Amino acid sequence: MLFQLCHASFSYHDKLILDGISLSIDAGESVAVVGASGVGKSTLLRLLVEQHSDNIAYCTQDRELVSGLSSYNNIYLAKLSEFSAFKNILNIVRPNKQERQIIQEIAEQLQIAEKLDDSVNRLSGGQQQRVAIARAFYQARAVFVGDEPVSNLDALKSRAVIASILARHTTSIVALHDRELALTYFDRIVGIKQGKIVIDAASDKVTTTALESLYL
Amino acid sequence: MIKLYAGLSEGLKLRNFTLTLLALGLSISFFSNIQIFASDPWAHFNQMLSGLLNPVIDQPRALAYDLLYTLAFALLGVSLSIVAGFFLSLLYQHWFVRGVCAFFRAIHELFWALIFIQLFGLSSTSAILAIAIPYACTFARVFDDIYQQAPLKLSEKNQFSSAKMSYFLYILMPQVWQQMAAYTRYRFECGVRTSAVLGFVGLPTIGFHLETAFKQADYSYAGALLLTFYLLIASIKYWLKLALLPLYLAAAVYFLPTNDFVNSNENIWRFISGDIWPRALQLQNASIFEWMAGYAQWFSDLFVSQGLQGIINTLLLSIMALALTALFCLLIAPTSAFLQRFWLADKFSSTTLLIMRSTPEYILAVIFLLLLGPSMLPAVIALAVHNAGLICFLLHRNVVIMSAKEGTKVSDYLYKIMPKSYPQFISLLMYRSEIILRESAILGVLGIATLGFYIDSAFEDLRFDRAFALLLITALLNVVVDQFSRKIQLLFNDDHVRVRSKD
Repeated sequence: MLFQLCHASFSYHDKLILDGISLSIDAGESVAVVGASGVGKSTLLRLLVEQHSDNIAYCTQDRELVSGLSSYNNIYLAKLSEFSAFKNILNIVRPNKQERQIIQEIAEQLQIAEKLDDSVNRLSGGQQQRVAIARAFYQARAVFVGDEPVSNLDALKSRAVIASILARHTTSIVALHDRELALTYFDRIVGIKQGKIVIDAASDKVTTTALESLYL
Repeated sequence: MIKLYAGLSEGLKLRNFTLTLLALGLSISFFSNIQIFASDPWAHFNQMLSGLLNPVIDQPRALAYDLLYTLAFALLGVSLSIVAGFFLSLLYQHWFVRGVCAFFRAIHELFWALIFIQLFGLSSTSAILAIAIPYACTFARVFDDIYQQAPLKLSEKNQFSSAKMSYFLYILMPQVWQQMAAYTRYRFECGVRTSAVLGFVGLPTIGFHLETAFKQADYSYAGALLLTFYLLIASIKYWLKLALLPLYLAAAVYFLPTNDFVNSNENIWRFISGDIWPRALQLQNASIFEWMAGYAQWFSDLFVSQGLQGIINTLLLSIMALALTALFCLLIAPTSAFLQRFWLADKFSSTTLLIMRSTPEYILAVIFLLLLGPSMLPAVIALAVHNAGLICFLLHRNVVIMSAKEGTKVSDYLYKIMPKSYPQFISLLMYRSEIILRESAILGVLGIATLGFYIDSAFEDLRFDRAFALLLITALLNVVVDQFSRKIQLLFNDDHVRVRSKD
């Protein structure tokens, strides 16, 4: 068992966000977390991340990109604490060849290679989102947790990005709005409504109408 | 005080605060030394104005050198202070660094100059250090302020706890770089003003000949010097570019005035170990405790005979200046907003504000002292003119933006615009109060009996022990008042954010 929550509740400013949730996820699963805005998807993901924060590539909704820094360095900084200060300082002056090579490959897969040397604040919302995903890929962890990582991408790009997230990680847990995407790519669907899990089943057992009901 | 503010709306609190300040300033002015000693100030003013408006340059070469030295000291002093201030800002969270910075910052550049002139003579070293030391401490505080307000904070993540240096480079710096650069640019402008004023204690900058010109009533030359000074300040934004800075610094070093005065290391050491401590104590062969008790006794005697009077006068002058600044702002801010609708009048009012804020308090005080004769009045007016010019300039932008939205009638101003900009106004006023206090102390050098008067006299009498002790008192007073003004500022500020006078 990789993740386990037992009757977990969570309140913020006296407002109950998660209400007695029980959930367990095994290594190797791919899980889509589905539900309307503000039902507690982000909170659920954060609770999961806290259980294994060192082994997870976590892509948050607000992206946490440093404006004024190039896309390349924004990706690189995920590993700042793994490298020596000396290497980090040199890399600011001139990109490290080896790391640049690794990041270049990731960026090509996500179609942002030509934007690597641009400052992130000059990028579109969709491009920024892919820089944040590239940062998660660069960490090369076994588990990926993403909070609506493709919300700003068109349908075609979303599919390609989700496919590469799944291909690069043994376990993936992704919060999504797109019901179609969730059903097509993920093994398991977790549906949340008003702080409670109302759907938890294999994706081939879940119907589109059941998912639609989450948003009513 | 508590009763006056308890349970009131924000607007009423601010109104009562302003009225308290104005009443305090007015009542102090009744028993302070506020009067006009000059026989016919208006005739003198006309004579001065006609001279200032007809600038004549007799010695273009001397003027060029004045400007060159003024710039060279400013460039080198400020550059040195940026480097030192940057390193200090990295350590600023440590209480010791914060304390030392607060203390050094509290001592005015002119006081630093008076100290360094004793050590290094009227040399470039004295001028550059007098700018660099207090400026470095200011940079340390402001840079730290900027780091604390960086929008994205990844520091909570334990991932970065071991990579402080890299964290600083990759996450903090890219976010704050532009703000730091903008502040640095503003400080260069301050540096040029400070450098000019250093001439008044004898260093070879534009202030030196300005003082002579005013004293000899050569107002045409004074006008020429002031005019070139304004042009220099106004032109900074066109030529001060980061890429060109190394070139300017090299040129500044090349053109620095040469000076034959070389002090021996023994002399410098004697100044620190001997001259600044009371002589009576050095003659006895006392233990450290006896020495400290003796110093405390000597210090308290000095405090009663000079320090106390100096503190009282400095505070009285500051409060009167602050009240008059508030009054000027309340008159000028709406007027400049009104004039903004007429092109020519707008140009006139913005030029007037520019001149008010670009002329250092010290130079204004010299001018008003000549016109009105020796009392506290010239200093009060000088401080109020300079600070009101700066505050109104900073308020003006917001007032113009608001009046485009809210309307331009008097009722719009009173009920919509003023309530919205008033908290910012009080915040700026409180921020300037620390600076007004620093300047009040230094204006004593001109003969008003504030702390600076006693310090300057001590330097003139070569009583460095007294000068040193009085400087300590001045610095401590400044630190205390700074804390107090910060408290008042937070009283009216919901966000608990301190406004700097320029961001």
